[in-house]
Amino acid sequence: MSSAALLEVEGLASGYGKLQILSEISFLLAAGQSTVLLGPNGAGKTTLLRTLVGLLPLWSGEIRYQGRELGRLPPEVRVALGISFMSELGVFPSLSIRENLVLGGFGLPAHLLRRRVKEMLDLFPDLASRPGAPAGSLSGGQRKMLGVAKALVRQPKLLIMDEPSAGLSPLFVNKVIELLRRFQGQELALLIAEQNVRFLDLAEQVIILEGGRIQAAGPTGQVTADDRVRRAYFSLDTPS
Amino acid sequence: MFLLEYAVLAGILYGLYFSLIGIGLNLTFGVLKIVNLAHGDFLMLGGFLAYFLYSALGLSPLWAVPINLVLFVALGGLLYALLIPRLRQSRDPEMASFILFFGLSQAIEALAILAFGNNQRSLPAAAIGPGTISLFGQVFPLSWAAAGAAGLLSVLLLYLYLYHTRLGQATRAVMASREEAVASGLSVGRISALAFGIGLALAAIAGVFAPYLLGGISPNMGVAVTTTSFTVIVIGALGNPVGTVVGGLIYGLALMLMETYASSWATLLPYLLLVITLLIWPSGLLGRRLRSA
Repeated sequence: MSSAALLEVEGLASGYGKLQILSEISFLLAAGQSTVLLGPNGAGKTTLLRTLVGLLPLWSGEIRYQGRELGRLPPEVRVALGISFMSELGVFPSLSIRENLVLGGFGLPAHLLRRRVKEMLDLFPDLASRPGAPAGSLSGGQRKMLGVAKALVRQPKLLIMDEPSAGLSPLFVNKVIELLRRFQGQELALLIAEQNVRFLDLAEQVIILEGGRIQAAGPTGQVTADDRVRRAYFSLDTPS
Repeated sequence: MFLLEYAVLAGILYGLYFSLIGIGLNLTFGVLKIVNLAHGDFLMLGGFLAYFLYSALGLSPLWAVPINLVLFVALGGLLYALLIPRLRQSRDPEMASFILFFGLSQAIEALAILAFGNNQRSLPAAAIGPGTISLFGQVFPLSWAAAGAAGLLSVLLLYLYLYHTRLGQATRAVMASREEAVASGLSVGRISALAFGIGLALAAIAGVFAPYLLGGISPNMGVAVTTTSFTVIVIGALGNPVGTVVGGLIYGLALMLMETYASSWATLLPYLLLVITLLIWPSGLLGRRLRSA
């Protein structure tokens, strides 16, 4: 394995209870690199993300982050190391926008946390206009914005997102993509599980997951040029 | 008119006390999503501690308030570590929690009978402080006012903790979504253990005033107190600490009005209010409605 990689996954297997979902998952993520994890429903995308952040146990294999074995480290330690996870819910609905942001940086020194929360509110004017409103009162798109802002309060090195486009109109999908593009090139690596191929615009690397195994992986241009992938995900024929 | 005024004022004092009885159960339910069926038994233990401070050491029962706070937060942490992680590994943690805490309730009751005997104990009114207190021209025992004040103070302190400290915000985050809290990097286990301990401590603090407002303390009082607590929090809203105050006040006022005008029906009140609330407002009076899209 390369020591320059931010995240190294080797032979990962995982599942729920006694049901194995994933097997032989191996890939690398470089610092600052954006990767989209593509696959149909039931492919194991969410299971993979949840295993990486420690919400599901690792059955076998290795997960190394900045050269450190994550193994059985609890989620809070992984978050403290710089891995942020934005689940499909992404926010605490009954808590205010400001409280959500504060909790995104829970454990940071008070002065630093105040500064980061202010930075996030400056960055998201929609949220800054009513920081005391409950997150549950926001529209789906605004909640995603808050989820992204909450996940970024710690200035993580790796942001893992589970279907950020779920339940969003095409307009808001564009907004989320534009937002994430702003953070690219700032030493933030993205790992995004999606079914929406629009997110490939962001990706330098694509991993195709099906039936709990990696079917294809590599640079975006290379993977999307593959005949099988084009037919399965873009309903397109081979370029002439 | 005189009777009505007295019943309403007494109902408010009792209501604040019932808020104190219920709020620990609500905190535990909100954070852990389990109903602590042994809640009333911890109240009973807190009451016995106050009783022994007075009868054996000659101290004011009020000394039991800070002692119960420290003792039961620590006991809660210990019980959490022993029971809850195993409970969460079961196939149906909520159902398992009913059985587990029912068993714990029975065990505490049996041990209490062995330790203290089966007799009801009470404390003299003068143990809290001499005399009476006049409120809007109506005279009440000082112990009732002390219980109401303890209820109000506890609710206020819990509110300040939950809404104005970072640990409290984290506790509310766990209440909102345990999984999201874990994914956000919160130490959910420690936060939950502390909340469980605070829940037990609030019950034990309520126990200090049980000899005055519940007519005495006895080892078998736990089930009735748990039922009352459950009614109070269901009226307000399960998992909503602010709702507990509303539930407590409604329960206290209803109880005092029943005691005043239809006393033979008063024992039915917890069950009656529970059924009415569940039929008309299944989420409680303060059940929160959130935008879903």
